[in-house]
Amino acid sequence: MIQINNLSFSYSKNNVFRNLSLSLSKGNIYGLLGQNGVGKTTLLKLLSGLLRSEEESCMVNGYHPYKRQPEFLKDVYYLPEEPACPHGTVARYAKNNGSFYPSFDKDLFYEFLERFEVQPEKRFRDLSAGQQKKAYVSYALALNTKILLLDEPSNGMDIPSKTVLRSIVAGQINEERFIIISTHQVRDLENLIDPIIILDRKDVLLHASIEEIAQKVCFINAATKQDDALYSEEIPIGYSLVKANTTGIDTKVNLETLFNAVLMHKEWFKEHFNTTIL
Amino acid sequence: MSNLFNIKRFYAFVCKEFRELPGKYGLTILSMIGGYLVLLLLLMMLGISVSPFTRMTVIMVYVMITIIFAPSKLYGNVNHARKGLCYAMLPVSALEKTISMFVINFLCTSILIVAGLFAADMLLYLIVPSRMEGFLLNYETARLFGEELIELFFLQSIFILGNIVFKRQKVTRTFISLIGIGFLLGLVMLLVFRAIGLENIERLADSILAEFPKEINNWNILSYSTFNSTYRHIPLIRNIIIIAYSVTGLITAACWVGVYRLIKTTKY
Repeated sequence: MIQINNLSFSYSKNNVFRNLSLSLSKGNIYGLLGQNGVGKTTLLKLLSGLLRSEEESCMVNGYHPYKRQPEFLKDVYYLPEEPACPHGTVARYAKNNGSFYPSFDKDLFYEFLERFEVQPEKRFRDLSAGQQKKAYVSYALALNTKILLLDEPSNGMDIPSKTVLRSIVAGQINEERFIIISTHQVRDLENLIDPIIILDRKDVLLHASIEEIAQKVCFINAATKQDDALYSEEIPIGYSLVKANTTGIDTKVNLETLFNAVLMHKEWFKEHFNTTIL
Repeated sequence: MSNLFNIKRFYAFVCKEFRELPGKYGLTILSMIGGYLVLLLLLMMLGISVSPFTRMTVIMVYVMITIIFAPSKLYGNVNHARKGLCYAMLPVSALEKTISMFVINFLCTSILIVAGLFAADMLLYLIVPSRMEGFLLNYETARLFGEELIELFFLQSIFILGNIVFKRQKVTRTFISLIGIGFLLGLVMLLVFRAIGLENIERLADSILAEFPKEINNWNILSYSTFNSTYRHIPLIRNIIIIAYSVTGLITAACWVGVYRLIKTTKY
């Protein structure tokens, strides 16, 4: 369980969050979206204790992350967008570090590596950036931590690997853990992330489940632009539209157009999705 | 499990760090041993025979270089914004990480380099004993080794702190900082001396020197054996040396407290 209450954070004079409040619960794969520089990575780092937050404003699993206590750390793993290249082989890295995580499943780790077609006996430095990422993702998921924070996990992966990633992540979620995925590649992770959190400068623009989004807005393709559309985007067959769902029709949520619509109509979304305006 | 210190977790962490040591620093240690062998061989080829005391002095220089560079080689990434994440996020307490850093940096690295250099020396002694002027270890060299090792621990503590404080060029910046601090202290002392009066300082120095026994052969004030045999019986010098020991101990402790605090609070 993650509880953020009135979290403020800044890098010297650059104010990243001002009174941000969020509550995240187990059993979900959260999608953390936002433009460059809105603080997605900062939020993940605050949650994993890599950056300093005030004790009363950020609690993760009942712990203040910045204290970095072993009991807290054994249930949290943060995979950065560009992980470092460690010494030695993939297998050795997992063996050396995985043993500190009580739920680490070595067999699962090797299974994931096999699915990603990464050889465990290869040295990290001999792997391409994409393969390194796959090795890290395998390790991160095999740790079985209750909280898993993934920063752009699909970046650098080829198309088949992205499919494997979706399949593995979907299979790893359960009632006891939750995963937060920060991404710009929303198409890579569509059908996987739910609920969606869209961050704006300093606060949250949208925090809603896919079901709630589908109830309140609809995504349709039309030959022409429509005036009542919240957002329209030109596509080869006409326009992709986001409209208020006044008729109760059930449409598939298109995360990319949703994201653009939210950015264009911040107040409308805040009002209709009851996101606290801070 | 305790969030401060757990012996099982600590042991597992030290073992993990020790397993990683050869990959990070093994080649440097081997190069140092090779360098020592080459140096001795060169001296032999030039017809120079080397006494055990000289060899032990050379060995201590090699050990000093090795342990000064050890923190940056073994733990150079711990405060790196990207490379240090794995270290910071590992479920081990800051205290365990600090003590493990001491164990790996000082104990393990020293044991490896000393064992390697001693083995290299012994090998040459067995092959060409005529050029070696005796076995490396005797009373005098063992005493030198013990005393130097304690001083190296003090020195390395400073470099371990420097390794955590500085993000890049850790060894160079620590050296420069030490020179800077030395310069500032010298400046402060000069001002104090001028305030007291240079004649008074001169008188005090003369009175201290007058207390020194004539037969003294070791001017290293941190040498415990000299302290024990000679200085201990001269109150004025004993007090000065006790203050020097205390300051050294305090600086070492401050370095370790600093390392602990930085491991605990570094932001990434």
